[in-house]
Amino acid sequence: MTIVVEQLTKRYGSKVAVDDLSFGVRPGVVTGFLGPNGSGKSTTMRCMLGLDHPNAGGATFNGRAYRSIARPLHEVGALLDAGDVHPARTGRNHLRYLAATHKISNRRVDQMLEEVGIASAARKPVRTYSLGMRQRLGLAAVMLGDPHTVVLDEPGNGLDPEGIRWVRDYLGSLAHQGRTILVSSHLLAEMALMATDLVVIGQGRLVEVANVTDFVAHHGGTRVRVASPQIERLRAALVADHGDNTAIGIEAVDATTINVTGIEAARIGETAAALGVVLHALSDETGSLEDSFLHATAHRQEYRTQTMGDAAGVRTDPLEPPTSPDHS
Amino acid sequence: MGRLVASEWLKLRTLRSTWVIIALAVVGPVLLGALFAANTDDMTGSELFQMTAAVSIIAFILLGVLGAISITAEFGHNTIKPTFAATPRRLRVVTAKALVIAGSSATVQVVAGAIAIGTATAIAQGRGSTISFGGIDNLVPAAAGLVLFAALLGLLGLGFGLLLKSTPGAVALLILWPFMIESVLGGILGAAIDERIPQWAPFTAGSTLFDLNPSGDPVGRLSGGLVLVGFVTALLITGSLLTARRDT
Repeated sequence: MTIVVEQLTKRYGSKVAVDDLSFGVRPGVVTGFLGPNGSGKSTTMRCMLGLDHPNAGGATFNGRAYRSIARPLHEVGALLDAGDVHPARTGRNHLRYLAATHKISNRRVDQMLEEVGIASAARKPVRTYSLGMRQRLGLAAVMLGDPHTVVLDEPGNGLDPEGIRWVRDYLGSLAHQGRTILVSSHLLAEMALMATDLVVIGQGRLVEVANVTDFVAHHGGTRVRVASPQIERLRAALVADHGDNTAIGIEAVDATTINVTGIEAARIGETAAALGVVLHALSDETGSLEDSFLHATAHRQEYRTQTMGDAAGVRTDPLEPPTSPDHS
Repeated sequence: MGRLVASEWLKLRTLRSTWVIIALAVVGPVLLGALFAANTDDMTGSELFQMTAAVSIIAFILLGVLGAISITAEFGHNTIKPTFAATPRRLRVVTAKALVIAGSSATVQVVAGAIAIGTATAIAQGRGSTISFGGIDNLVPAAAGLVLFAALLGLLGLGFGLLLKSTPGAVALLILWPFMIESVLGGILGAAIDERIPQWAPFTAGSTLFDLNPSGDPVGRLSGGLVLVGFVTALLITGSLLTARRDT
């Protein structure tokens, strides 16, 4: 793991923004940092980068705390908000002042402006930039020092579909080069397309660390809709074959249609063929990421309400513990 | 530190507001000095210097504003986040800023003072006065003190900016400090305790730096200068430590 966040807790006054959060991020893939607005994603990132001071715990990049990295732009590139730019300064000068702190050349600055596609606007004040151009400028700043680790907070915010696709492709290529990429978003569909791994948080606490596909499969489940005039025969056969498997669910929709969870469509089709049952419909209905997400975070909220109401204060975490971060 | 100074200097000079403030800090004293010279008969060299020092108050306040904005603009536009992300050791960032502000303030004062004296001299001579700077007592220390005072005022602004994080707040304090807070508070304390107290107030005491004939009773050039230096240093240290501890 390149990034390790360990037992991070951050309170603002009496409000707990991040609560004992631990997770790891591996190189070579894009890791999505997913949570609803206000769930603590930005706070976590500010704490990771030494901008806010955690009350407990912390983060390391290749084993070192951000604040102890002598030349951080060469190690970790971060973009928290594309709006963190002085509107009267030109895009090029914004990059130049950052570059100057690491003796990065103007040539590299111009190269990055070219790479993100805003070279033609480089000498105009940032106030004339669209949000998309500011995101691109932010990404140019991130990559100035050619860092091995990239941390981005909602880089898709305010972008049009073309801009989002560009960010996705850009991050994908960075990950492909073996870099470690952590990208936050509250937009689940965006993460499904962009990320390989997921770190899901809700109300400042870890909900789940998962692979995107597993996350959807686990929470949304894959439901197969089956319609047949002889649905009862098929249903009886499926129960006979898989009845002892608790992960399987069969529910009747109407007299000729059932929804099956836990059995692949192909297997159902094979069973039907073996029985000689005519099928009128056999379709996968994959739960959307939004569904998975709402399901997962709702679970967390339920749990929190329970523990908060628990006078004894005994914590029984119904979720799997997070995978222990690897201290490499 | 060289890299950080280069970065801070680049930040300062790539904003048009910086150049507007500097232009006003030069043009203001020059025009006011010219106006005085055009309306004064039989000016002497020492009178001309004292007049130039007096009209430099415009530059002092503006340089304080420049110092304040150098940090409050970063808080206001949140560029403080990329700045501190690039240099997590915040005290180094503040130190680089202080060096750049002190240097630019001193330079602006040298330029503004030289043009103001040159212009006023030309006008006074045009009116028949014979201006000579030879033989004026303490001219060199007072001129050096004028430049040092400007640098300290730039730093005072930076200190207020670090403390308050807000441009209007820091600018208000810069204007209120010499004209209201020191005179009112000093007046009250002076009347209640000792009439010499107001003379030890930082801005007033520091003004002896560019006084041709500081009385030395009770405040001399060195003691007055040290009061202002001490005040600005304490302010900068407090502001820096706060900045290091605060969340962005």
